[in-house]
Amino acid sequence: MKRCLLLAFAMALILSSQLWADDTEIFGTASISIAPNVLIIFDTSGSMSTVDVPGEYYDPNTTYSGSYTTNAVYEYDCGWGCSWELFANDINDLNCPAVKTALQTYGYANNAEIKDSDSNYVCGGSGKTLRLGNFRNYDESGAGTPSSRISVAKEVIKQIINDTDNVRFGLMRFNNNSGDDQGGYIVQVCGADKTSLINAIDNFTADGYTPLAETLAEAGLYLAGKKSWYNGSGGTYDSTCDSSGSGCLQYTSPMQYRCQKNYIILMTDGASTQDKDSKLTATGAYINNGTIGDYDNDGNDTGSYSSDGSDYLDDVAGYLYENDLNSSLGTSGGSFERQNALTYTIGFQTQQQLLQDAAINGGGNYYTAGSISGLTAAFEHIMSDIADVNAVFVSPVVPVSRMNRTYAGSSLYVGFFKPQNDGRWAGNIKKYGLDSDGNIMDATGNAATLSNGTIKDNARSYWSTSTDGPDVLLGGVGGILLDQASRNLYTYMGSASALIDSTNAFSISNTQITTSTLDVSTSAQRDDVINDIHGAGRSWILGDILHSKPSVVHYDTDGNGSLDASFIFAGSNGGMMHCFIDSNGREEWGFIPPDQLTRLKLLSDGTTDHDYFVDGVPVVYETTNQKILFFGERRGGNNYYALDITTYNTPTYLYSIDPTFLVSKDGDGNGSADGVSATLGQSWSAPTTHKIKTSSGSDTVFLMGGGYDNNQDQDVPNASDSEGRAVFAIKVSDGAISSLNVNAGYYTDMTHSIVDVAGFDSNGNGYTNRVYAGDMGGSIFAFEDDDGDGTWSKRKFFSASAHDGVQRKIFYSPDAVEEHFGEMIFFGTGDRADPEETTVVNRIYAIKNSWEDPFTSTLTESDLTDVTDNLIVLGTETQRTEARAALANSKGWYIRLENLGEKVTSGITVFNGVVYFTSYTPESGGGGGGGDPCVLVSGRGQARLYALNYKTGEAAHDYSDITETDGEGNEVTQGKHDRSKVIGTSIASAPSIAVLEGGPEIYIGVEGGIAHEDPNVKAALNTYYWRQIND
Amino acid sequence: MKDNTRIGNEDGSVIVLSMVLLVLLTILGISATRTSTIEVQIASNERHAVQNLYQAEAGDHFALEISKTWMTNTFLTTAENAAYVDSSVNPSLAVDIDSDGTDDATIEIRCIEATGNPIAVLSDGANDLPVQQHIVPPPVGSGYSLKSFEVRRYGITATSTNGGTQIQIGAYKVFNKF
Repeated sequence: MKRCLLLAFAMALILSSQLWADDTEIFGTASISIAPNVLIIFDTSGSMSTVDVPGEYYDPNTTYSGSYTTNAVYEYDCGWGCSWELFANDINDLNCPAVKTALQTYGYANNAEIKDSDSNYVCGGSGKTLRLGNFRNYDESGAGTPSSRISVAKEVIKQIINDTDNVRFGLMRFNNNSGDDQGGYIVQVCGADKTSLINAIDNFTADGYTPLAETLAEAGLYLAGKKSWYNGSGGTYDSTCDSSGSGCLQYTSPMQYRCQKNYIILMTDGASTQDKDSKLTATGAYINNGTIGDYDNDGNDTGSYSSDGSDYLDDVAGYLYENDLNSSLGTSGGSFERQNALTYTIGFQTQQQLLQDAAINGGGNYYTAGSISGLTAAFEHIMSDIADVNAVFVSPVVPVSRMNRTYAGSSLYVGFFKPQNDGRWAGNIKKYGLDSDGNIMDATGNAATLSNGTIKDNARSYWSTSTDGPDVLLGGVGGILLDQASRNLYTYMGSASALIDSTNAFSISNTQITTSTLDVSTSAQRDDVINDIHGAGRSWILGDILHSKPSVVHYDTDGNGSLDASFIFAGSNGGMMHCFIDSNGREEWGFIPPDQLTRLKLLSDGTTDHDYFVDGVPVVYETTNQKILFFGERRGGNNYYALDITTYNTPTYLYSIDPTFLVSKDGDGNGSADGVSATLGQSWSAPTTHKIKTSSGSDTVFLMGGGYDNNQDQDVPNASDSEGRAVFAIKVSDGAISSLNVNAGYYTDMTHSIVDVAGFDSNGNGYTNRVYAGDMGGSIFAFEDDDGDGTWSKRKFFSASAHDGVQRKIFYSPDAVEEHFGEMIFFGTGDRADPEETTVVNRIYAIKNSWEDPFTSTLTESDLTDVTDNLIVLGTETQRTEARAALANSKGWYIRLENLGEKVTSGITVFNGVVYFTSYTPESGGGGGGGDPCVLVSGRGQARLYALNYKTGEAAHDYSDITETDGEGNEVTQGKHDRSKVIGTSIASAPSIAVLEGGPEIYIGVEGGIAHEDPNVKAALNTYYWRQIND
Repeated sequence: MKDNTRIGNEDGSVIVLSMVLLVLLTILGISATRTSTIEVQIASNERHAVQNLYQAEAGDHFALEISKTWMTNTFLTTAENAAYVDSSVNPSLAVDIDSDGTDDATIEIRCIEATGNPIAVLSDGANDLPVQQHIVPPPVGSGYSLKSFEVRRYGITATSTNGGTQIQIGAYKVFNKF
């Protein structure tokens, strides 16, 4: 009986969770702290005995002389090259006690969360690196009684080790005597106890050369668990090992978990010496049979250094950062498949380009210090950079060039979201540059991503004054928003269409916003909700940008005919549609749709479920004198809103579309309204702008689907939906219905909700005459108005479920190409809202449609050729001929997605004869983790990119290393496995294909970064006629 | 009987025959020479024609090859009446394709448009383009998405430098549909 109860309870749990399934379930939700390995390389070269460092700590009661104003506060600002910029004229201006006290006591504050002068220096804001002027003078002046460098370094590092918990420190030094000036050795392994570390430091003496690159390379061998290059089983230098490679110490890697981070801190006072060992350049000599040499291709090696120094340090750092050092942890295609090491460098009493280059290549940062307190500050700064492990998810957008409005521009905007335990997910938008080859560059001009697309830890996005890497909670518009003194938040209360009207202000002072407006009971609660949305007391303000995408619009603000400014529009699940200023990343305004006002309190309700608000993709309609922003709410609601954004800072409310919009309309022209069957669902459509013909002329319209019916969230949905069964077009100017309005009110074939619609102009006359849409029941509907009279013929063109009764949901509208017989359409199936489901075998379809041929009945799979086995390439001679004939005689082809539970999770784009899309495959075998803490944070499952020949479904590129042979035994380069490749974990974004000036490029958002693919198009132009004009 | 010996006397006929033969052969010789001279001239003309054809053809291909240099902002933003311009508003560009120091062809490019008003600085041939929309959906068989892309069409006319042979090709380039 007890067992029955338990079972029933478990069933109830499963059922209730299934009821609200969404794609968010596959993203890890926790940030976890796993103690990182931090290996400190302590410079023990002879020069460390130099006595030239002020041995006294900074004394706040002493006034040090120098070029900085004693009581002023300076911020380390990397806006245009890094420098100390004045932050506040006087420390007494600061109104954040914690930061003020730190500066008064220690003279410095790292990651100080304080706002700037615009916000009267109150607490909050993004983390800043601050120094009191007096401290800057102290660090630069060298005041006080000098001590030896080594004694100062010992004191500082001992203090840091003593003060820092949850870090597995290790210690390394240079080999010291004249015969063994090769590299360095591990003094204490990572994870050693503090006493051993401190005792070891106490025993250091300064003697020997500075073989920086050799020692860093040795550090890498240790982290990777490989054999030493120089040290014997005794742990220190062994000439037999060095010269013959035998008897070398076998290291044990300190890496414990696949998501554990590994850091190397290299503190040195001098330039590289005795640093030219042949192993640094020998082919295949390093980890995984790699070669260091001039790894970063800077051409600086070996460089001109005295005493046989070299420039290989930055190459080693680059190698350790970009390669997987321990392939036994983390498998390919999973999260954290790459175990690398980040290198931070500190120049102690020295400024060196090489150290800076090493930090840039090594994913870390470079610091300089000239005093005991300065060195302490540098170490503390590095410690504060060591962040919790977390995963981020992105989707990239390349907007049109502002210069010519034809090519895609040279910037990439990336929407971010990061799951949070409290259900209030964090979001951000970051901007990167694109170079002429389409590579993603950060604000400093360095590559922003590694070869696998991961955003580099030390990349600095635009608008950011310090490195922000892939961290959602640093930099970007979200970082700027933290520092913003006030926000312009609007809603629409119905009395004035200008959003800047005082009645529309979303503020405490606006009396129109009452307790009932926000659905709360007391005025204190009302104020709390308003303040909370503005961001008061919150450590991060911008909500997650999950299914929405940034849309960038160019403006001619001074009216001189050239576009001079850009603005970014994006919806977030923080409750609103945002407008950001492209030039500085600040938020210009935010608009909270009226239907969301009563839901805003959900954000601070303390429950851990993720709430949706403005989650739809915005579209902007533009003419020379008008711009209209139109967006839905996806799972956040059922309405669409249109705002006039012709003047960027005075948006005007235009109209909204609610679920009853079509109910009173007469779609079939029979004289009576279509009724409740025409009710719309959740506003999932990402509308597109078209010109279509009407009976009396033409309209410019937004083309959209009926939306999502959450009937489909049920484990077993009802046989038909009751909402969202429509394809229609509204006039952009006023939201009135235009000539296309097909809905279930009169068209009974429409049984399921439709979330995405595609339309195009097939005859080049400028008017959209063909429309396609797929529904949740697996049907494709086709519409046509070729004669341009404003009446649309319709057909239920295809059913993906008819042949076997399995419901295959279509979430993305078909793509189409023009062929001699008509058009060929492409679409895939897969339940985006339940990605973990594994019972349905999904498909990718390519179907020919001719409007001239007679259409008798809905096509099914039996009208198509199954090309899953790729016999056209892999068959015997006979099979190949048969496969070709079958393709020619059928209505198209399809592929069964054979990985368990694999589903198409993006729209399809056909480019240069290649069908591109991404898919998601749930993690097989349940993914229990077996004590691996990393599963809590990683995205689950695999994301694949497909590239198929549009006519045959063959592989379009050579994506796989697996050797395949055809039926005759001949090896083929593009077999079945080459159709796709794994590009990361969780759900990837749709492939974004951008035609840049340098050629076309494909960008795909994956966990932690942006995958970048080359579509391999040879010719910039295609020719279509030839003629000789004279003889 | 009468004396018929005069008839039987054939003295002098050889010379007549020789003369006739000589004249015939001379005429034949002269005409043969003339024919071969004309043949040489024809061959030369053919060579010129073919050379011109290939030079013009090469000019077109060269224009495709260097599309990045001519497809400037003016060319991309001005749908109507955009003609080839380099830095100093040149309607045409002489190109030395084989790099032998002499120009082989002159290229002229303009947008293919629905209202193809002649541009004064361009040659008649370069202005003689099909009257078509400049921006259209990707054409039949191109394999480009009708949803996401559009093409812009250009008429490229190359004139050989020596003989003025003009070859024109129609070319299109795929762009994102923003």
